[in-house]
Amino acid sequence: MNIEGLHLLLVEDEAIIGFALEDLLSAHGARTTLVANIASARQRLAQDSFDAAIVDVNLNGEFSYPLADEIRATGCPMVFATGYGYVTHPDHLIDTPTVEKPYSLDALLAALSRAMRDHAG
Amino acid sequence: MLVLGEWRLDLDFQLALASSPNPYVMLDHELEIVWMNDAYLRVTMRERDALIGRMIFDAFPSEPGSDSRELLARSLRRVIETGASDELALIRYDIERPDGSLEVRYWSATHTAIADRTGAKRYILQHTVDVTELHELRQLRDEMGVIRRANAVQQQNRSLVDESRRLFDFFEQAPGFIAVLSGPEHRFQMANRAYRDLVGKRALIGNRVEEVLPEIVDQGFIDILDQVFATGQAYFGRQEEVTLIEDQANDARQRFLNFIFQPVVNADGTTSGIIVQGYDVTDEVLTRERQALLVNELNHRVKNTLALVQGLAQQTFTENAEVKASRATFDARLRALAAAHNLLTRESWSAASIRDIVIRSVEAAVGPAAGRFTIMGPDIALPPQFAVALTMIVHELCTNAMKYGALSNAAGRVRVEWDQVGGSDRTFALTWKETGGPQVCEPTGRGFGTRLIRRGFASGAADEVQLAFEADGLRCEIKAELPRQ
Repeated sequence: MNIEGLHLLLVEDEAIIGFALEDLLSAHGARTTLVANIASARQRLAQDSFDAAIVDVNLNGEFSYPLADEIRATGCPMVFATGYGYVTHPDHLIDTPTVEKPYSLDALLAALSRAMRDHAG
Repeated sequence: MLVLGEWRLDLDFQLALASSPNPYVMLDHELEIVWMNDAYLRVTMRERDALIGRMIFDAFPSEPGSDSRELLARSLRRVIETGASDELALIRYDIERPDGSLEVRYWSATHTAIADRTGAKRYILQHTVDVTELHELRQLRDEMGVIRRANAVQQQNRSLVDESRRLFDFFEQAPGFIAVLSGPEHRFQMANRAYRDLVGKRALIGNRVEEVLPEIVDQGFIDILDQVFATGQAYFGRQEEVTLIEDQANDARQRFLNFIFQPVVNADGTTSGIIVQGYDVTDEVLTRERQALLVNELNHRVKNTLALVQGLAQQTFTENAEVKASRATFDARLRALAAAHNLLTRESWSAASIRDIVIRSVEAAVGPAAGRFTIMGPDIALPPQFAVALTMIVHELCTNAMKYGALSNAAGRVRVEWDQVGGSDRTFALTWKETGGPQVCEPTGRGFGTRLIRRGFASGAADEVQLAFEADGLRCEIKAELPRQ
């Protein structure tokens, strides 16, 4: 999938993983906004519009599911990144495309593409 | 008026007993003589005043440990403990004559438990018959056989009573819970201590399960009992969840039980009741659940750490970097990460001390140059993610100091200080200040290290990182807010 020119919101509390994600996606032409916590993510969502979001499930020991609901409410397609697999997802988010850490660029792009297709369809 | 069992009669029993030609004596539950009739005084050759208020075994001494003493004592104890009557068909109990010599006597005695008006205290009414004459006559007539037979029957009865008491003790003290229910209404017939502990203090015996434990009706257990009773098929429950309501506090207690409902089947194939037997396995079930949670959490951490290593590799091995140098940098970063994990493991991944993190990271990164550091600040416990982040930041600060800063010459020094700020024990500020090194200027490129340092902890709104390339050396100030525990 071509992500050139897309504006992506990245929510990842682990700096090193976040940087790698930023680098990976910007190398393919995407514009990225990296935030490390739920408060900053809310702030950015209020200011900006995004083509898609990639959200870590565990942010500093807290589940990001309430944030995920807010992101979906803005109409933004979303992908989860997690070390837990699907087991912690609540029922209404079980169909959200999810990549398991450590993820590859291919897996990430496939999930993004599914999220945006689901959203469009 | 006396209360005998449940009957109350308007009749003066004391008077009736007092004038009876049969000897009667009344003992309280401590075996003190509280009353006797005249017939009793006659057969025992005593005065009333010499007996009232005395213990029975003081009033009528016998060899402690002797057969007759033991026989009588056991019988009295049984009556006190069980409230049931007890009989001694034949007992030799010698009586002291007024002149002090002992007279051989044979007795037959009945001990009846009698409750006082409130039912709180128990008395024993002893009815004794002096059978010495009969005994001697029979001996004379060589009818000892009959007596011996009576003795044997009595022995046998005793051992049967002892046996059933022993069985009852096993039942009562069994570690598993046991209850016996009778009939299609499931009335409690027996319940041991473990069962009573399980359901809390409730009146069980004679009552129906659904009356005693109304909360289990909706949990389906009465239906299962009905089914077991109707079909005669046992039911096994494995780790079944039962919610029991505490009697007083009305608190619901969740328990997990392994149990069996075993039908009691008569010879004709009909079911007469159900034995409930089982174990409380709540602790085991909860432990297993906790363990599953822990394993899941561990899985998350491992995956996260792998992703972190993946990110480190991606950012260390860049296209234009030299392979050998990159590998050394990568190794050092991995070692720093491993050191943070070691510190966290010491506290079961709950927290690590900020001082330990700074000292270990510095030692690992700069080796002997650690002697050029001044490190001070209060001991603050950092949650795992902060600990890992601080480790990596200190590691990158050290690496930069060795390459370009105060540790790149022989004279420079580094001071690392931290403290709680803003009157909150959740906000802290850490200052890294280099002095005595070569003149430093802001780097043009944005390497991984600088990027990591500039980001700080990025955990909340209060987070802030200041990098100042001062004339005498780098100053880095990191402010962070710890999450609420």
